[in-house]
Formats: sequence, structure tokens, C-alpha cells
Amino acid sequence: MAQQAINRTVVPTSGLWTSAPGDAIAPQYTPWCQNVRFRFGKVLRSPGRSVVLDQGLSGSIMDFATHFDANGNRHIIALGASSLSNGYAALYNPTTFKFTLLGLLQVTSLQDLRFSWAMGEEQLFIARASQISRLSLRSINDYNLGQFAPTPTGCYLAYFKNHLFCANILADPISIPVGNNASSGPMPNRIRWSAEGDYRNWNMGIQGDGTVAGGFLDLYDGIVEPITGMKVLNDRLVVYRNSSITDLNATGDALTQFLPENRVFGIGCMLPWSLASVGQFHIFVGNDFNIYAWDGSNLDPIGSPIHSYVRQVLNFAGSSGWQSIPFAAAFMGFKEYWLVIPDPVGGTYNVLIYDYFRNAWTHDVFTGLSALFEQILPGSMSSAGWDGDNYTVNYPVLMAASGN
Amino acid sequence: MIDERVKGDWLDRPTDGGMDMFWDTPDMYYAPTGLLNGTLERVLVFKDLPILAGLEAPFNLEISIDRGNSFPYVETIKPINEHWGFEFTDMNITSNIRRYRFFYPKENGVATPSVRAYTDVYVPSGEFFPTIRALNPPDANLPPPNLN
Repeated sequence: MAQQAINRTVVPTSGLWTSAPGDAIAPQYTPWCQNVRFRFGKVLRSPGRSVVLDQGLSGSIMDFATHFDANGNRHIIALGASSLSNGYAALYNPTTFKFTLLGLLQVTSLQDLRFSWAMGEEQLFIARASQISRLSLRSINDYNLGQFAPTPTGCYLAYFKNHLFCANILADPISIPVGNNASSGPMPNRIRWSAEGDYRNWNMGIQGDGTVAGGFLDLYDGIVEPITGMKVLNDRLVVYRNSSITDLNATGDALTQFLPENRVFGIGCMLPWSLASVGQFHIFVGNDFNIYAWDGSNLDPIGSPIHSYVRQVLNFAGSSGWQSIPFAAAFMGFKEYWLVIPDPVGGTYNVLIYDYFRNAWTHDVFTGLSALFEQILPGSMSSAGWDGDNYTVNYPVLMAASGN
Repeated sequence: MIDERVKGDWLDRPTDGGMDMFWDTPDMYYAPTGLLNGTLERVLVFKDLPILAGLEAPFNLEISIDRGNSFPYVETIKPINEHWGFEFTDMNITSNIRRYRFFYPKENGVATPSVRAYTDVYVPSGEFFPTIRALNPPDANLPPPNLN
């Protein structure tokens, strides 16, 4: 008579692995999962989702941003639009959980993309394939919002070394000095920057009074292709293209203010809004559909477990404007990177979540998701399911926007 | 707002906060060659204790014997405190491979999974033969059957 065999197996706390057949996966991984987390040697629920806290802003909230004023006061701003010409900014009240419309950005977007924003000089700079708007906010009754000067029209913003940067230039009202091989037309591989400490001055080179204003740089090395994102990493501005990663270094020289330093050729950022910074490294979806962490010297393919799944669910043919653009958020309070792959037609928003502390992937499903942003907030204590026992009042949460 | 202090998904199911949660085990053969059958008799699930009243909704232990294509065997588990964190399910399923899915259906309301491990008990039950031919057309690269 056959003897009973007994197998004891711990739960798969190393997370999700979808790019291998289920029978080839080691027992510490799961081939598929949904709305769970793998922590402390067990399987836990994912963070809860509170009831709708506010609605009524015209158009969708497409992004959230943080604004600090000169006194260090922090304000949370929602950015949204319902057409290419009516982008708006709204101020969040963490006590009432409501947004107050501040006004329109007064610029027109040339493409149906998501927002990009950066903070510097007590201003929040905002662009959506448009000229740059700024928000200077001291209180709900004391703020300036709108366009401040003729600026380049671009897709990505960053603030670095006291200059405001704009990349992937779609149009430029400021003529390029004679001798340079570009017009004022689209230059998707171009980076422009403003004068040092003066975000209003986008002139280039030596000015009439002998001072040096802003500048530009076209990235040609390796392959000429559009810039797909940029973020600051330590003392460098990392500029991503589809298949390359380039650092921008401050030279200290007044005339040649920044120089490119090529770091990676062959791998770059394919999905611009998948780029997120978690402090010591950036995470993004690469042009080979894998997900990478770039710490300035080591390109780490962290997405190997879900590589095939990303390739499977990305649907470029079904793209319908900004709603279809994958985006990401860093949830540093939980050591997580959230990659949202939307399907607005099917109504399924797959979110792949990487726990970079435990090197584990998991998978959440939402019915609508248009923006995510980490904040430390008191939370809505009147929300159903609220259980604040043993938690601090202010706690890391993700603000989430869904549809209109 | 996505908040760990909120239990359940009150955005999509404002009535009870239920949320589909599940995780699968890998596909596990009863023998490294895949050619040995086993008859699964019992699965024991280890959980956190105590089980707080009203906090842990019933969940399903679902079993697939076709590498996750379908989960035809469903055992519902209602964790209670008197079980000391050990939940038993008994079955009688013969196959050469099994995959478990621990599934918390949203219809059961808010759940707080805390599974730590599972133990299955089976009896080796002979050599595996694929007794039912696959429904897909035969591989064009293979000779047609019944030619001998």
C-alpha cells in the first residue's frame, strides 16, 4: 500500500513571477496573484481604497503635484484638463478632502499627453506638451497662476542646478543663434534650459549686458531619437531616450553650462511616464519591455519576473490619448513602485507593484485610475472600512484619481 | 485615496468593500518526471491567530489539475478562532499535477488574509497516463495516430 506523502510549503513571499510557465516557478514565487502583498513571511491584503472623497472638477485629474512656498508650507495640487486648451490647477484641502479650482494654465497643448511638472524658485512649473505655466502659491487667496513669458513648448520638465529644464521641444519662440543647425520647429531630441536662477529668461548665450542666459543641447550620440523623460539623480540630470541614457553634467563654466555624458546605449526609457524616482535610483520601462532600475552606474533589470506580462498587456494599437498612456508612481512609504497600465476601453487598469525592499512583484486591479501620488496625510477617518488603531495620524497614502 | 488603514475597496464596492484577492501556488507535479499520479487527500492551511471575529471572511481553496487553465475544485474555508489557526480541507483528486489558488471573493466582503504556509497530504497512485486526448488539433509535425 502506498504511503501518504506530506509536503509543507511556505507561502510565496518572493512575489509574482509571470514570465515563466507555472511548473517552472520555484515555490517561493506565485505565477499569478491579485490585490495581495507579500510581507513578513505571509500573504497580506493590499492597501484599502476609501470612498470617493471629492468629485466635480471639470475634466479628469491627470496628475498631482507638490508646491512648497518660501516659508516651507506644502500644498498639494491637482492638474487636469478636459481639452487641449483648458488645463487647470486645483488646491487640495487635507481637512475637507476637497479641491478648490485655482484657475486655468493659459497654455494650449500640442499633443494629448500627460502633464510634467517641476518645482523651483518657489514656483511650480507645469507643462503638457505646451509652453510652461507656473503656480506661485502662498494661500488659497494669494497665488499667481498662468503663463509667465514666452517659453519653449516641450513635454518634460525638471529643475536642476538652479535652471529650469524643458525637453523634447515641440516649438520654440526664441530663435536659435545663427550657426546652429535647428529652427524653431520641433526638436524632440533637444533640451532647453533657462537662465540661472531666472525661470523667466529663456534667451540663449551671451546677452547684451555680458551675462549668460539659458541654453540648449541636442542629443545626437548613439542614435537620434526623441527624449522620453528626465529626472534628477544625485548631482546629475539623467535624460532618457528610447534606447539610451545620458547624464547632463554641470560644468561650472558660464558659456558651456551643461555637457552630456553618455551612460547607456541600447537600453532606454520606452514609456515616458513610467519613469519614477525613489531617491537613490530611477525605475522605468525599457525599450525591451523589461523594467529597469538605474542608480547612475548599474542598470538592474528588476522586471524579469513580469517581463512577458508587460509585453502582453501593453496595447499600443488601442491608444486613445492620455488616458491610455501608462504611468507610474513611487510609494516610498511602502518601498513600492507602482506601474499603471491602463485599458480605458475595457475598464481594467492593471497595476504592477514592485516592492524594492523585498524584491517582489505583485499585481492589483482597478476599474479606473488616472493619477497616483504619494503623500503623508491624515486620511479620511469617516471612510467606510477605516481602522486607524495603532497608526499615526499622518501616514503614507497614495492619492488616486479615477475618471472624472 | 489608497490607504493601508482602510480595509477593503470601498471605491468599487461601496456596499461591503469586498475585493477579489487571490494568489496561486506554482504548478507542482507529484514526481519530478511528471509521470506519477497522486491522489490528493487533504490540504492544511496555516494562518495567523487569533482570528478576530468578523474580520476574516470565508475564502476558497481552489485546485487546478490543468496548470491553471481551470479551477474546478473549490473548497470554502471559514476561519474560526477555535481552530488555532489551522484550517483543514479534505478532498479526493487524482492527477499528476496540482496548483492551489487561495481566493477571497469580493462577494464575501472585506477579508484580511494572513496565510503563512500550507501542507498537502497525498497518496502516490501509480503511473500517469494522459487518458483523454487533448482537444486541440494534433501537431502537424507529428505523424498521424493509428498508423501501426
